[in-house]
Amino acid sequence: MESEIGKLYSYSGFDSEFIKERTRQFREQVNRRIKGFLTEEEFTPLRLLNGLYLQTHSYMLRVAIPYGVLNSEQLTQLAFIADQWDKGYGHFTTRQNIQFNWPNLVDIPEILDSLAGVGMHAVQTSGNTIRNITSDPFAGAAVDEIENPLPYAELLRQWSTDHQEFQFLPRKFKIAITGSLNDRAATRFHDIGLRIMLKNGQLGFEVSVGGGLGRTPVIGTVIREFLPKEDFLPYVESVISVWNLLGRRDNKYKARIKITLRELGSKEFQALVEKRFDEIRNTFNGADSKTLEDIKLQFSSVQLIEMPLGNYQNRHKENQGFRNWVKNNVTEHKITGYTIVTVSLKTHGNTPGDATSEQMRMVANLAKQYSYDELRISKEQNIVLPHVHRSALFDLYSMLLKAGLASANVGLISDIVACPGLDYCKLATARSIPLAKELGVRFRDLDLEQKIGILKIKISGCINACGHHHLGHIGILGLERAGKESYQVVLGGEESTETSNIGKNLGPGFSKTEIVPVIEKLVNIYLALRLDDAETFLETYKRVGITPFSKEIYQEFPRRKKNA
Amino acid sequence: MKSDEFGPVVVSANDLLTGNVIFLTEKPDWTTNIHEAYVINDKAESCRWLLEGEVQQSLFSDNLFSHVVDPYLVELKIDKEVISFCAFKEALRYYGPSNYFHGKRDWEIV
Ligand code: HEM
Ligand code: SF4
Repeated sequence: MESEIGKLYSYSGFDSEFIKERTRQFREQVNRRIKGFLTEEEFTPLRLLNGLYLQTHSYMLRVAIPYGVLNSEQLTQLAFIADQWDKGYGHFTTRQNIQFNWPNLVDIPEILDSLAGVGMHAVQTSGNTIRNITSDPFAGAAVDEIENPLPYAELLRQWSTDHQEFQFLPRKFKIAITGSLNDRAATRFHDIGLRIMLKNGQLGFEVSVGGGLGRTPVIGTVIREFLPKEDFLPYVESVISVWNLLGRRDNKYKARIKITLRELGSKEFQALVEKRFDEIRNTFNGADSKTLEDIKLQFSSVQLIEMPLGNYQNRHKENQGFRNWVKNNVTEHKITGYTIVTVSLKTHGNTPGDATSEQMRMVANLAKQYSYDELRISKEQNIVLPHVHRSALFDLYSMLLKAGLASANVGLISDIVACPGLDYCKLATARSIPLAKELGVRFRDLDLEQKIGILKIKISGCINACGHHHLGHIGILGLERAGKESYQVVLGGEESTETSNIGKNLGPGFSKTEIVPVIEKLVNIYLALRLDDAETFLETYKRVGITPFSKEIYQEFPRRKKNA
Repeated sequence: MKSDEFGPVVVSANDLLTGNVIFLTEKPDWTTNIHEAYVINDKAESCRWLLEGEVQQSLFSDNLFSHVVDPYLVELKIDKEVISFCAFKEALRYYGPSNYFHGKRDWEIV
């Protein structure tokens, strides 16, 4: 028997012409900048239109991975770019993109050309535009999925790419979409969060608006409980066009939609959206639904073939390492016999989210061989192989082991999310990567990881919160005090839809040398407090509150009254 | 540094082509080596040198554009000719990222 799943969409002619033209223009702009015909002031917005930042030590190019989906050819090309023009690696981000940290300015047009060769680009990965649409890394494979969100994500991508009305928004705009009950896309923390819902047999969306992290973390407000699916695009457009007019362009810290919503009140905002929606709904003429149907067709179907389990059971019984890996890194697939594999990019002591070109090629080959040529990047900065038959798991595991990619730590304490921090980012106030590395090694050496169970640590190097620290069960925020790195701890963040929570501040911050022992102590407090092995850190925290943690921590790490 | 004291400071910027961290020399030219940078101890002089750096951003000479972006002043501590940076951020900027050794410099700061 064969079962169908949604498969990768291939880009349209419009896309490739548009991208070609953009790269041609950018090549000229780079030349003009190098020859001095453009000042830095004139050049900066142009390079940002093409995802190019000037960071602490070098340029950084952010490449879009639409809704986090890649095929093996694309990942292989990213590996080629890393070798040819960077230092042999890339950094996968919480927004399901990849960043190259070391390209030279003159090479960027070449890099963009080679991305275009595999239908990729860096357009709208920065600037005040609609950014890369993010989605569930398990889309099309998850057991709890109502409908595959990827065709809708692709419709959003096509519509938002080069959308003339939305190229100069008040601020950046981020949309996430999920089709599952269990929200793996943190939709409530996006400017627009879309969740596919089923109501009376009808398919539609729950629409939340104004979620976000950064210096003002906010949980999104639901402004439509149920939006029929055919109204999806005009409604999203209405939200953005209302904000586009009202958004605070006078103050970039108040420009995000979350502030507009707060200042206006959600009822008033919602009323304006509905009004706009009434005006524009008919202008779509069903063209969007037609495009969606085309996209669904072009997401050419793959047939997952039913197979025997082979030697899986024996291997599973005999091999402890394999068993651990299956337990933590392998998830049930909606089709019997198949699984979803998460390849951890969190080898203890390594930089979270980094993959070498060799590892990228290796995983690309594995995807080709075992996962119907599909890969996903998750917001936890890991790589997902969405359709792997159980019979192939042991071979896959063995190959990952050889490549140093078989860490059985998905969802565990060393599966740490960390932004680039001060090591690379110009906006940073402290480093995040070394903390992640030290914590990974520390808990490996203590051999406590499996015992601790599910515990998500997330680290950001400044209040912009790119490392999602507000959403960590333990979140760490890097700050600067008197020219030195300092770290604040927040507890109890979580990102599922039913119970979204922004982490609570533990108290005064800690120095770079204190922070790892502080985290270790927090974990020990939890281990002593938990009711049994099954109670997770988050559950214990919710049961006892923050006080038992803060009390013990500040007893062991007392702060001086001032300046702590 | 107390409010009535000034310096030592150097002018730093990023190289337009590579993004590399560079410092202004006395010549004036640009170097990646802090030991070759021109160290300034006087406020008025620092303004002049910063201006020099800014002028260099848009300087054409023999059709060659000066490849410099966003110069600014960086505070140093100099103790018996040993140079260090006042802010950790600046030290890291000079020495390079701490997670890989990218051939930039030995990572020796805390
Ligand atoms: C290195 C260059 C980067 C720069 C200059 C940068 C800049 C920013 C800024 C300024 C914000 C705050 C926006 C606001 O509150 O309005 C932000 C938010 C965010 N960034 Fe970054 N970021 C960078 C890298 C990254 C990386 C590497 C990731 C993923 C690991 C990332 C993911 C995010 C996320 C998830 C948010 C919060 C969501 C939101 O509310 O927008 N960014 N970034
Ligand atoms: S959180 Fe701050 S330090 Fe980290 S990547 Fe974002 S802007 Fe840079």
